[in-house]
Amino acid sequence: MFMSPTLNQSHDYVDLRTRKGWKLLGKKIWQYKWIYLLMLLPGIAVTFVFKYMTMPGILLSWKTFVPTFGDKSLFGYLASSPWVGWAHFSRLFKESAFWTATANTLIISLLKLIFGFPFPILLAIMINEMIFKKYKRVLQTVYTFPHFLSWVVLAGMAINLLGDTGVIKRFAMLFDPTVKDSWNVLYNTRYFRTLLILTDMWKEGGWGTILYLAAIAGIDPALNEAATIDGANRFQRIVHVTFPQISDLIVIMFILSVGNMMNANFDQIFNLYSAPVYKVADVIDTYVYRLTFQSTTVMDFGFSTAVGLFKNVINFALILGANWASKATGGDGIM
Amino acid sequence: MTKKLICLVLAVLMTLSLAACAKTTETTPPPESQAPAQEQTQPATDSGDAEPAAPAGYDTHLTIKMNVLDAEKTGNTERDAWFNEKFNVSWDFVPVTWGDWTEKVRAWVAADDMPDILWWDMKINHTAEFKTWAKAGAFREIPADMTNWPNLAERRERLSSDDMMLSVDGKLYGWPSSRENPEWLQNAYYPMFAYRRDWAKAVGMYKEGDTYTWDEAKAMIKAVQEQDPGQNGAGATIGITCETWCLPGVFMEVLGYADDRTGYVKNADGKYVPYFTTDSYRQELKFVTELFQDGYIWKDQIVDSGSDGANNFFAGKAFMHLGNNSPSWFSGTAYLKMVDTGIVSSTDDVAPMIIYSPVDNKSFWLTETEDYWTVAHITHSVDDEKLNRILDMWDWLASEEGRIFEVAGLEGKDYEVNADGTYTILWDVNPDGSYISPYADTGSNMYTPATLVPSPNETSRMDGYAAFTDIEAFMQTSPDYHVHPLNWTLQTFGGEQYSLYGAFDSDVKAKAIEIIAAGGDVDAQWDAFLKEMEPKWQPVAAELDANLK
Repeated sequence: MFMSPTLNQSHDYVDLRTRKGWKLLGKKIWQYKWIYLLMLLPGIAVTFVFKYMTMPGILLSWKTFVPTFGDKSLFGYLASSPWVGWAHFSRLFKESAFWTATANTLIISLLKLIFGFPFPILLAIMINEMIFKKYKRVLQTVYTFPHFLSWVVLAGMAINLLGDTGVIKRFAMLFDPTVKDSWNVLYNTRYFRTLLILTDMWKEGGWGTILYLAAIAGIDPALNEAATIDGANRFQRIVHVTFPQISDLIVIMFILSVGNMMNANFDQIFNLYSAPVYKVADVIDTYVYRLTFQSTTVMDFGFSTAVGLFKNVINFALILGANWASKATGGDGIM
Repeated sequence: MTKKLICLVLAVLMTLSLAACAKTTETTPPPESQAPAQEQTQPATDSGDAEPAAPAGYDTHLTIKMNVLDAEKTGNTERDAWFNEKFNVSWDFVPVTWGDWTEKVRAWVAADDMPDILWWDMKINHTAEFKTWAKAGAFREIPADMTNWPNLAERRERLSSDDMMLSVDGKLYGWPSSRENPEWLQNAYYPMFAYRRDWAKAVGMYKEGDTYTWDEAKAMIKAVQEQDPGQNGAGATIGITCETWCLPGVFMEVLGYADDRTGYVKNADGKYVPYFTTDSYRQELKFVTELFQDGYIWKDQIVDSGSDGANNFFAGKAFMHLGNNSPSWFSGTAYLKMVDTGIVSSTDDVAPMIIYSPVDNKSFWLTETEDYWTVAHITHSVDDEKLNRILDMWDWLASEEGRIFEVAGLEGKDYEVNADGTYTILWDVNPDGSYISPYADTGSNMYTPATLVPSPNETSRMDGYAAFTDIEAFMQTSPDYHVHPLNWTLQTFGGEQYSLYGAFDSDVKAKAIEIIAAGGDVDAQWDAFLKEMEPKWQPVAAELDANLK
């Protein structure tokens, strides 16, 4: 409630455009600190329950999962599950499908990082430069809207648009009737990753601009005014004022994105992929899901936990690497 | 101060909301006032003769939690209220869908968060997994002494699955819903094609008896696509669609290239090898790949993860459909959807069809399945009273009185018994004379676990069954009707390697679909896959050789 630029709070007037305003804001936050701490509680509780209390479950990587029934203790399943040593990891490293999934995860994430990461930054800068404010707001809404659609819905739309009976094929047939029998955009290994990148940019690009637009709005107008007086044109102002001013945020977002590289977006891929594109689209998360819930043999949480643990070890290494690289090149890290 | 209070209340509420995620361990039924929204506790109906018998010994009201398909349609009718009053129960339904059913069951068991009746589409290859759960104490034993439940006892006498699959150390831990198949069917299900007979007639290629060779069927598909009797637009009529689980397995099994095509078969040396390594599998794969590449099978079938295949057929966009096209499917689904929506004008316009094996152009193959459809387990937390009540209900549903209740509803309200013992159904009828049932499908609700209702029944659209008259006559009399056998011994084998890997079904299916979609040199692609798979299946085959003679 204190984040709006101006706020009438009883008799105090907090103007965030001035240093005094920020000091006053800090004072107010300190004054009501117990409320903020209290409001943190649900978040802390969720994190504790779902992120920390589940951690002993990692031990299943070295066990064969045997469920317990009627046991009220939290970790009874660990006691009932026998140790199997490194058997799961040994099996894992022999599975070609696992290495395919690992490679796909990294490739798809890297492609998303290369094409998807800069997209909202560029979009935010372009939106910021728009002169007509009302049109700008409409555009922002239009770009942000796809974020609120689930991948289930979007996958259905993609199939309807790009499928064999889809509109795009019919349109293409007007120009080239031979595509009638050769059309297979949705399960062609050559196009599938492109489809993933484009649909991801379309869905999340607009949403990603929110953070950057907020950062751009916080740039001191005096900097732009000074640059204008010095003769900088619009493009030069973007390069020399806007971009440096939001670069810290970009670095933080980049490190977080790198740290998230092993999560190549399960929802998106699971809803869009099919068996013919497994070799280019099966990522670790979809592989684990199929192993755990769609296997025709005995479900083994131990094996899938081992896969998940391996994934997170790589993830951890990546985030440390990105943090180190950021610091080594003179930027800020996150730790 | 007000803001502080609001913030405090909000924070507490948000924290408390976490409790919603907590696992409930309550095993006793909640008081009526706390009953979940979906419970059905309607009072007795006043529907003429349909007064339920006085609850005999059912003084305690019980709430039974059970997962069902179509939860939103389940338990809302007068008939359900009558049943609930008869047994003094109410229901807490947990919804599942075809897509998430097994996944949810696995998650519930793993978390010890099962409904009282855990009902699922358990297949024979789930046996090892089920036994792991049963040994760990997941389920109540179904009492060995079934004196109190004679109808269930009578079904146990006729079932194989209860002993072969669902018993651990001689104790029964699951109740199979028996199929009640006639003997001549050899426990086959109906993986066969349905087609638009009216379109076949329109292009002048219809054959009396609905029996075709593959060459005739393919020519008919091309003719339909070119002449467009369904008026879908030039080139827009789909040849064949199917249920998602049919591609590629069912397309292959109907071809009849091999008799026994269960996971592992014995080679010439008497050693076990996976069926997918045999030449028969390769021939099947080539045939289906050709069908797909030549445009007979719908191209988007590859990416269909729902019911688009079936819906295209129901919507009049496809000529043929492959699925479990049983008489009850025709009666309860296909005709209902297509006649009621005006896609076909007469039930004669759509029919099941026989396509002979391409091997000899005269044999017709179905596949044996388990002697039940779906299994229900009673969860370990269920007490004796609830267990007995559930078994009482199932026993009654398995009686002739229960069967009539399921297929015809309530006497006086839904039907009248004539002097000669026949029934007059009181429901509205369609223009074609078939009945409009006020009840949802009986195959997906709390009545199903007891037993499947024998068909044909007194109330369904008989057209669905009539369409099978010729085909079933063929199946009963022709030496060319064959059934791929189910290998009970192999598929209930609980060896370590076999339990872990089975017949690599997921890998094989994924690769087969990949090849079908890609086309090209099937032999080269399949050889490369077999080479990659050989070290994986050998330990399993060795285990089978050592343990199964």
